Amino acid sequence: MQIFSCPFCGPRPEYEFHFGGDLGNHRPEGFDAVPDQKWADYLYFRNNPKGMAREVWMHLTCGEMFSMTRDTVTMEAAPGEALAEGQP
Amino acid sequence: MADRSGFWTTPPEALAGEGIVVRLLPPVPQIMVSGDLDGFAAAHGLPPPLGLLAATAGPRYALRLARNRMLAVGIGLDPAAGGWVDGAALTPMTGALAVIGITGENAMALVARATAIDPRRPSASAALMFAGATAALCRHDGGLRLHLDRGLVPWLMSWCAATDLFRAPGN
Repeated sequence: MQIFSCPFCGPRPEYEFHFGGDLGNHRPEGFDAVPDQKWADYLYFRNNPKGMAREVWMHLTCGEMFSMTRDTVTMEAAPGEALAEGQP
Repeated sequence: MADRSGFWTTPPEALAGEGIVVRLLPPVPQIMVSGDLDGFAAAHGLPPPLGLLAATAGPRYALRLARNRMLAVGIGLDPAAGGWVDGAALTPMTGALAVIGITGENAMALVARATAIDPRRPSASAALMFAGATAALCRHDGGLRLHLDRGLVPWLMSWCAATDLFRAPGN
């Protein structure tokens, strides 16, 4: 059982968390003006790095969205960092 | 119309095993509060909201569910009076959330089967995944109280009954 750390609740078992994608994968602005390749990048292409990855995760029980740095080789995960401004 | 009630088993509202009793309590007044938690607690004389497995007693207490959300227990709310009130969004939860009392010396053994949390490590939020369902858990009057979606009570009772805590020896 891997333990992840929610910025609000602290360490909790991995099954309480849900993966939210790469950190910084922002939805393109502009609707029809956005080229197909940019939509495809946003929707379907992932960074999938070997090593350190910056990701968005959600703690399902408290609803906190946060960023987490995780090593995809060793599975070591740093404590989550709150995404909301001004939150510890 | 055909009577189909026999198609479905009716789960018990209480289960007893060796050193453990799980019982669905009569409806407990509850309000979900989002927003100004300190203001609501002060206005209603509530103690600070509790985190995971924190101890409380008596009919009135509050459980922290999230950074800006708590469950006020022991206070009822007319549905017409809900909504945005003095900086907090209030939702009556008495019907939505059942409260299950878990008592006996083996109460924590059930927790050990239902979750992988470390019960010795405090957590700011009382919310957790209990037997796969989102719920809130605290110690209350020497036992445990689990606040759970009322529609999931039959599932939880079935799940509890399937654990070895309630199975008869040899089954």
